[in-house]
Amino acid sequence: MTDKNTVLEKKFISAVVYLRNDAGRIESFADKLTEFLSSNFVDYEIIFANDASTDDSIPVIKSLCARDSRMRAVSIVQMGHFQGQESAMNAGRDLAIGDFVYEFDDMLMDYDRDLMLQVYHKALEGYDIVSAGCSNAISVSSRIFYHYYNRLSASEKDISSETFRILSRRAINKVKMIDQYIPYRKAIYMNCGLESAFLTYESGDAGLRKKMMKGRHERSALAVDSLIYFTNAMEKLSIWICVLFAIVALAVGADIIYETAAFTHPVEGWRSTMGFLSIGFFGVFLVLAIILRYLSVLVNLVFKKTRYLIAGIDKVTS
Amino acid sequence: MNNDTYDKIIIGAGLYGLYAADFCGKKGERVLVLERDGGAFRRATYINQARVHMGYHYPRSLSTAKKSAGYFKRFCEEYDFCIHRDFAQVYATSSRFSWTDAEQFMLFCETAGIPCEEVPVSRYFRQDMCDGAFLTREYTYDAAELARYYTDRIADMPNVSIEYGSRIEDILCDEAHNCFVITLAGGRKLEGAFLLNATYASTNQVLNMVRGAEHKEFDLKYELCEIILTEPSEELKNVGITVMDGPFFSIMPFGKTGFHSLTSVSFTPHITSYENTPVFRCQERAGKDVCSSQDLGNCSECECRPDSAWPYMDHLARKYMLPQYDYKYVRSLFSMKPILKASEVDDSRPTAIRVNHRSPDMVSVLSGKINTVYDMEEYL
Repeated sequence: MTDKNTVLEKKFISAVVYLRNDAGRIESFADKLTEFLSSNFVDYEIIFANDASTDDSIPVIKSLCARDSRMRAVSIVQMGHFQGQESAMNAGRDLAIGDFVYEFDDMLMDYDRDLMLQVYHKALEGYDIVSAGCSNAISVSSRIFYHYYNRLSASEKDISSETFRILSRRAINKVKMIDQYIPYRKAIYMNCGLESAFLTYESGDAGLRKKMMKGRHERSALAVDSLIYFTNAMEKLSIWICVLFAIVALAVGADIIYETAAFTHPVEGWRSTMGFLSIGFFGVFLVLAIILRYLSVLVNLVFKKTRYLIAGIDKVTS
Repeated sequence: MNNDTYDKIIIGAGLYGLYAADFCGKKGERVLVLERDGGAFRRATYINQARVHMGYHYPRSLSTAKKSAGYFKRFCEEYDFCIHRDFAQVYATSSRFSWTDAEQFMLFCETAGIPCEEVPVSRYFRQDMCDGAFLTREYTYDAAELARYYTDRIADMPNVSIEYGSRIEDILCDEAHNCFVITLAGGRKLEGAFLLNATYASTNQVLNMVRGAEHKEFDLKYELCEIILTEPSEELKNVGITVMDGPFFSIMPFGKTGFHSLTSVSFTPHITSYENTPVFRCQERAGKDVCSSQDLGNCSECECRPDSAWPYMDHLARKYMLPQYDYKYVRSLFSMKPILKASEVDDSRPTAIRVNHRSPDMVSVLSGKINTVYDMEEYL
């Protein structure tokens, strides 16, 4: 309950929550969230980014809103079809009007409620982006991904596994100036040039947290995409493969020249055939390297165009 | 002739009621206007955006748009004295969540034949918030001046009178004597051969009160709406801004008051009632004498009106507009808005006029726009 003696913060807070078949988790999460918001802030809104849930998540939210008067200004962004966490959260964040926007990537609250306030206070210290992530429940594959990502990305700031974060309005505006489409939020936030901070916590339910991370198949595709978008890992890899094959082709060419010079007599036609093949393949790999370069430019162009598709916005309470 | 017998009895002293009273008074008919509040134009005629619609609002309903544009000219000519036109009315299409984009909006204006000139988005809005901004021709009317105009005219007509603070207890359709008998609180009885129901949000409530005649209610839902009056900065003073077409906002001059009205699609409606008459929880707190589902009070004057949604509307507008277009909170106005259920999909706002009964005649009018007031003439 709201303690009458505490002074409520005047900042307007938006909380954007990712929702994908979480009917079982909504109640306890929403309860803790509204408790936190209503006991600390005068004005707030809650936005559920519903990524085409097929269970009864929506009726659960609506009944919660009807029951709990603290569930103020609740909106649901209905994604047209399943589009993944990044798109849904982008849509939710775009709808938010707060001075500060919380992004909850999932509804597992395996952290202490005070952490949400700590993150806010950290933001007030001058950090436009403050994230919270758990330290004890990162899967091996995640660790490998973040390790290589951080090594290869151009950004000096490292990213890590995060559970939720807070963004200032300034950060959101800045991010919009950089790019219209945001394929991987964390990376863009870190690249926007504003001050950021990271708080870690010990997960109260590491097992479940790990399981949840694994359950998200689209995350592995996103990992590969992110490496393509934000690092030159894939470009480097493919260029190296091209170079390798070009070397092989050149080696064959060198062999032919050597054999011609040494007056050996291989099978009739071998020299002309292999000579043609080696020059041909060398050309092909050269062209491929050029095409890859073009493709990497195209990737940059394309992700400025793609957006998300929403089906509608439901105003649940005002 | 009995003193309490009239040619026409009009319920509701809003624009539609007074327009009809003036129209019939000029013909020499004996007309009485019954108004629940203490003055004219205290509800929807006053408490709305005060926009004289040209049709820009309805990119999903060409018929509504065309009709608005047609009436716009006539209204502006006839009511020139109460119209404020010296400001730039800017419409913009939001980059996100909008049902209409800049291109579609331009095409729509062209089809509807309404002026629309593209202006740089960056002149008014923050980066990346809107994909098109357009200078349009749309005005605002001053409800207070319009009310004065009509009450003055009616005061000059001995055959027309307005009774404020009147509460209707019963309406009887007396077919044998070809008249409606209205009983007011206190027992006074009034008779009229023609009854005009121009009560907007109370239309169904009045219809339900009629005994002795078959009648059909309008298929309605109700929204309790808040309009915020703000004091604009120097830069905003001569600018009106409307962001379309979805959960956005509008801030524009409010008649000649010097204030700007601030409204938003998602925060202006506070509570919705899906019943056919307005049923709200706040009515219990207000008490039967002030307001009930059978007899709607004036939300703006009610002690039980909701808390203002100012922080929400304020943040929404500031998210879009450049900081120099600043404004300060002055006060909130509340009113009940009935919405025809049939018009939700295309967001059209038809003016519904229904003949509820013949001999004696009863007509109900329901319109959310002032410039379609002329539609009524053929029924009077």
